[in-house]
Amino acid sequence: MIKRSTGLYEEFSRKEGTASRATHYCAGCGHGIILKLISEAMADLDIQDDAVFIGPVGCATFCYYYFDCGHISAPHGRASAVATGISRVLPDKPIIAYQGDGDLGAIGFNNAFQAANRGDNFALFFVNNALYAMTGGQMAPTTLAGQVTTTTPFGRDVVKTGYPLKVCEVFETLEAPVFIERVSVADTKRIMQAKKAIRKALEIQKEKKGFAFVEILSPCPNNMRVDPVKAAEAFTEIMEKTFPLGNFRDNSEKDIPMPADVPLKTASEITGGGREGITTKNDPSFKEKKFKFSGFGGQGVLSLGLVVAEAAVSDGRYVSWMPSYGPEQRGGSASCSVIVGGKEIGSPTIDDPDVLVAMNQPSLERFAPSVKEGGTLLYEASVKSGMEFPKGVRVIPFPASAIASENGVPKASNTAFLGAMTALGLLPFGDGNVIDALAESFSPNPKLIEPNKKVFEAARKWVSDNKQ
Amino acid sequence: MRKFVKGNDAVMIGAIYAGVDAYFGYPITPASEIAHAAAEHLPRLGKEFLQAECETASANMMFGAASAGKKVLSASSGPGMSLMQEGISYLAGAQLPAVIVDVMRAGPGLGNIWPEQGDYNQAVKGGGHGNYKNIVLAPASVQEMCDLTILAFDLAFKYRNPAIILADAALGQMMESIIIPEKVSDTPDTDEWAVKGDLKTKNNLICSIRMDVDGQEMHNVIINKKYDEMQCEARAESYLTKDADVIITGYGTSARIARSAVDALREKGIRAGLFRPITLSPLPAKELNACATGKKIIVTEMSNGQYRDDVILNLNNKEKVVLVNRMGGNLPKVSVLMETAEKMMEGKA
Amino acid sequence: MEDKPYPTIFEDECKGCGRCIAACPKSVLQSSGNLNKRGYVYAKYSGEGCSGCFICFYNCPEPYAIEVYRPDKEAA
Repeated sequence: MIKRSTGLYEEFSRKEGTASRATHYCAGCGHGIILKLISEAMADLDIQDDAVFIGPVGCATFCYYYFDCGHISAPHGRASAVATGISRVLPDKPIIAYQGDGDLGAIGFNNAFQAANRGDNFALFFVNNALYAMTGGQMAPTTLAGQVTTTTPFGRDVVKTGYPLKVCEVFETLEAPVFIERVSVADTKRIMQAKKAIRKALEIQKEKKGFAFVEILSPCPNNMRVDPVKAAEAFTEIMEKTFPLGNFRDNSEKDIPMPADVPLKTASEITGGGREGITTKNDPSFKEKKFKFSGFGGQGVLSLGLVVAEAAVSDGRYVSWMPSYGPEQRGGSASCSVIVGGKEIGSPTIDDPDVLVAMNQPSLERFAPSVKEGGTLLYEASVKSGMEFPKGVRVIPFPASAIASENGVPKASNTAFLGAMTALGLLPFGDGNVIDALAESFSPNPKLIEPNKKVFEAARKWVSDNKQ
Repeated sequence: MRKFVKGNDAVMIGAIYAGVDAYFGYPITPASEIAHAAAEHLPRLGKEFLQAECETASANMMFGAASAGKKVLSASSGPGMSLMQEGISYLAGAQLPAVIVDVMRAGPGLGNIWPEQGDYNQAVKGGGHGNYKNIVLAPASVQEMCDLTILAFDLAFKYRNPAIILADAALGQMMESIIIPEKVSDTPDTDEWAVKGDLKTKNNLICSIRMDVDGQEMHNVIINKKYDEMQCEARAESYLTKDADVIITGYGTSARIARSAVDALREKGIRAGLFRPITLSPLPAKELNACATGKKIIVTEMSNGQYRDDVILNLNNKEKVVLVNRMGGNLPKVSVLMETAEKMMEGKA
Repeated sequence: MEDKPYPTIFEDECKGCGRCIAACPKSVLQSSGNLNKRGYVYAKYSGEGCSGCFICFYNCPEPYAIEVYRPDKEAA
């Protein structure tokens, strides 16, 4: 037999330049050894046609020159987030992400950390060469204390820049990862151990058993300014003191945790529940009517507006409902604006309501002045306010909360106001629409329908009894 | 089927009928209901929902899923959109389709949660690095929050480019009744470019780096030619503009306020019209000039005049443009628009 | 002639990093002293003594710089 590389393109045609069978890596670079170990394992496991490889930004940006599989080139630091994304939509495909110590340890750390914590289903190879090689030998999170780099010219001062980041140890604190191991490609024994760990990680991926993480100490002779053999020796003697090799976890024999089951539905089942056969009629003769319902949040102000809006919809009118926003919310009052029209509604907010319902004092004093001339101001009768009401506005104090409590539903003062508006003819649609909308609004708990109808009728009766 | 829904919920209804495959997003007011709806509905459709650790992550998760030819959606507001700009530039650079909803709120910085339109330049000019553009659609109703989400997916896949729905807190929070779409759009054929972990697509490459300068220049020429071709997708609404003397133009919520002002002015005998761009990128410049030439022009927006600048840039005859704008969460007032129009008619503004 | 294992070093792909030379347990690899067309001093096999252990292959960072022929063993 002839022992040769497998799992790689025969020709690196995506690579510029003349050497179409040599890598772009520097002489003696650990990436090259890792490249062979990963590609060999992919070939042995026969996953090349199904695998998607996500490359980083750094020396290994050009993984897509080499591995004979699908390729995505991710932004710097984002390979793990990209891997998370694609592993979610291709749940049964082997996904492999490859990152350097700046890519994963610095800019992309949170993405990798969170992916590990979610146990996202991909294999993540983390190449730790203790510096930023591609960009010119700067400090990396894994740079050793005292190590000279282009951005630590006096040697890394841990007091100013912190300590070498031990990613395996950090990921070991997380529940979800299935496999965590740190290896090295500094010498033969270590390369053989790395070969096993890399293959194990890819086996876990082939069977989609979850998140497998392999940190690989990889010498960078070029930036260490020593020949490749010395660089490798230094990695064993010095780097391993801070980054001890070994397996931190192998749960690959355990069952694969499955997410909770969610009963499936169709799109129309999900978006259903609307009204069939309702067309919104264009009726230019219909004069747009603006309602503002205000009070404090707990008084059902927003739902009062919703019932009026739903009634308008069922009557084929154009309608918009808008919760109070910004300036309207000052002073703790909640409000909503409902506009009913015969054609497309313009502004969703109301500066001059035709009808104002004010259920407490702050909202009465806040919005009463804005009621349009010829409009109607309906407010909770128990509210004492010395304010002077605007001219030309029909002002009706209405004992909504009294009527609601007398009819056994103290919280239904909003329903009472609904009854009052109906009786006063303020709602430009049939009583039937209003009552149906009221009932519909209680469909989540139908037992509230009858009591609210009782309050609705009592309010209507009060208005007709007390017709000014 | 007609249903009374909130703007943010309508986005998700549109996404479902567009055939969305995955939602990746980070919670932010005033866009959160989109995430809530996605969390509730997508698993029931056998689709993916994932709350990401930040918007940078969600943009890149979209990048990953889009690389496999899947329909991806995210929604955020100003601060989150800023974190996504790098990812959006990469989506454009790698020619990947994705739909991102920006429910704009007051900025800059933390701002507040109330409606504004201050992210116009970030979306329309492209807030990330490099010579790219986004497709930008501007809904002005709850129906359009639904329909333009479907259109956004169509255009994103047709041009293989990120598409942004530029909405705002008012549109997100308001409710109107909409007609629910009937049919789920079918899945586009993406084998020609996507990477799906199979033999057929194994040699496709999702990548935005070309070390050789001519190659990278050619890539820029190709995507910018694509942006020129997109001009045919420009859409606008011209309301009562034919016989108008004063044109009020704005998009989204501002256009709704302008519509009310136009109606009110017409009642007072002043011939006003509304020009509402529905696409902001591509900007409907031809349509703008068709109804604005020789007219008095008011731009109304909830920002410092970002859309106004594009109106001036695109007006062929350099008509005078008056800006009526509010910021910080305030909405322009119908009354102020009316006064401005009246003054212009009297030659005072 | 006896069918013995031997490494094949592809001159143009070798970058002269020396990892194979240092790693070979039989010390039968050495620097050729010559430049390949791309300017690297490529390694070469002394011609005999290779045990077919593949150590040079695994220590070599260049995927297509070394192949090792081994007569007896089936695929590893």
